[in-house]
Amino acid sequence: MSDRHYDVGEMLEYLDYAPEAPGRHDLESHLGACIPCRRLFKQVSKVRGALNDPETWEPEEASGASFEPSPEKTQEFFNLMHQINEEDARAERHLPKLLAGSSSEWHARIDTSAEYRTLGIARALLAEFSSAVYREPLRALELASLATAVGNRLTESIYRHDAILDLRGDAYKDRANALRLLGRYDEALVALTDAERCFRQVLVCDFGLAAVEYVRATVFCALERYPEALEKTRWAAGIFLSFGDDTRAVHCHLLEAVILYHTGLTAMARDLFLELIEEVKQDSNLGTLAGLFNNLANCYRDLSEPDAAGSYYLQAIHLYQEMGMETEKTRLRFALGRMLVTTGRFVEGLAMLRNARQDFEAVGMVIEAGVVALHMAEAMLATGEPEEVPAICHALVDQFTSAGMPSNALTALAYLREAVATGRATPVVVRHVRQYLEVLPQRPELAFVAPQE
Amino acid sequence: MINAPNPASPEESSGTASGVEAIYRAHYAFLNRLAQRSYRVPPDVAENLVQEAFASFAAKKETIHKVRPWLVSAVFNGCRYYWRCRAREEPLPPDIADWIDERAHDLEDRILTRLAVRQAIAGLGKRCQGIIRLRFYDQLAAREMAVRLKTTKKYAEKLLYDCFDQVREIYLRIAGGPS
Repeated sequence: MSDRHYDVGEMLEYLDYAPEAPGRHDLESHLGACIPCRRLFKQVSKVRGALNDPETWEPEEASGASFEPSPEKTQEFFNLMHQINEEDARAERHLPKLLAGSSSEWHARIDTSAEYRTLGIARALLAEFSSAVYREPLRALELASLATAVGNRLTESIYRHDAILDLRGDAYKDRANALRLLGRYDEALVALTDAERCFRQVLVCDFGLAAVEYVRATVFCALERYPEALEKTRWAAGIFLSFGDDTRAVHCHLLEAVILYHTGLTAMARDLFLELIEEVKQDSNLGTLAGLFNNLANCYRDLSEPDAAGSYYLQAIHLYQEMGMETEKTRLRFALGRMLVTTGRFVEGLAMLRNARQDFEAVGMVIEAGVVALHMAEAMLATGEPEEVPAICHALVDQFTSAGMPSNALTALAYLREAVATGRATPVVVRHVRQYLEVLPQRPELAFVAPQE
Repeated sequence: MINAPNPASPEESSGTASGVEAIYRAHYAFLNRLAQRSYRVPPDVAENLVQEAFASFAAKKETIHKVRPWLVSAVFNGCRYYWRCRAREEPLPPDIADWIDERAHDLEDRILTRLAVRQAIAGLGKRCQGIIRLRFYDQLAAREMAVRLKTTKKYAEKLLYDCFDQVREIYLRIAGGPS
């Protein structure tokens, strides 16, 4: 591959004379690996295509034709704006009263008071939903359900047909998003079907449908239905781009990269994540950027490039620290420590794991701290330095007991302590217990079965 | 897992009533002409489509990032909807599929690029306009351009590449950043 970057002239020459262009293969292989040149090449191709299009050179419309709105149309639109602004202002005043008390009281209020059955109230509820959804998904679900209930009570004698259906579509889609975050995937898919039905009946439907397809893709991804998820998120990205919504398009592409990673296309996922860094930086969302670095680190780790992986883990850790997201930071220190240990850098890795364990303990995340400790024990046994292992096992039993952890977890740890005491503990035995503890939060009923010796 | 996107700040001051009214006045004629000329929608239908796009925009203004592309896509969306409905009622022109099926997004992209590039050409200096015109309108090769410009082929190429780069840069500003 040629290391130097290409300029506009060289790209134009290539486009004019390919496939006979001199140095064609060098340029093509460079474009395959250089993101800035690829971006420039796309722009050059696009502009060149438009310049070669005869319609670009057609004269402008004859000056006699008027496309300006009539005074009636203008007035009609300004009246609508006035109505929207009035309702939004009223909704801001009424919302605290509507949301007082329990959610059953909220629903009763919209049945009894007409002042709550407005598009303004429904819009305010969805705005409230947006600020709550990632912090309090259960409350967000209640808000979206209430917005749906308000939407279903709006009538066409007051509002435009499309405005009502658009609102209902948004409310069902938000409800689906909250259900997804709560792991209630089947219900989320039902809500998405309802949302789609609403959007399909409005004139400006593609934007709403793209939002539906994006949420659907996230649900399919969680359900490991990757081919469907990929198709949906790619379609949504195209629509968002056409509407000039780069932020949502970037989120679709991020999801696409996550799906590629889960389907084993790690190098492709890495390339896409790398392409998205600049766009995510422009979006100024530190949480998204940290997640992107974390995903990149995982890709590099799986591609056996620990140095690059370590660098991205550290960048993600730094961002989480900046945002005060201590738990996420600790999770990444744990991941980095594990990677260092598995690549033979035991001293650094164990130090990182020790810190992660202390941090998890400090915030009362007993199982997570226990899993880290077992990673440490496994590494110590594997490197022939088992002196600290008995102390780790004793401490774990004490911590799990005092934290009131379930009896099956204690059984697993008792087995391990016994194995250590009798000299039967091996890395395989420790890994068996650790893997059991890792799945326990998802399957609390699972009984511990000792490994076959 | 990557989270669903949160709304970001709108690029224009569309959040206020006067902001939206200014946007209506600034974009209405452009959108109306686009619907009638690019999608061949009858004038009365085009006016209603544009009006509906603005109504939808007004209700969602806080979550819309770039006003013009959003409105343009909304109008295109409405035009396709109109043609889909018409297609069920009566025979239509043979190229109708280009306007109403999924590939229509490519068509829209081409139309918008064309409009932005046309504006970009208008933003060039006279000399650059002439050079771009020689190459892309008159379709002259570098050697022929050199004769017209009374210079060498190499220098004609350099002028062309410089002018093309100016078009690209103006286009990016109009289209709203790298794509």
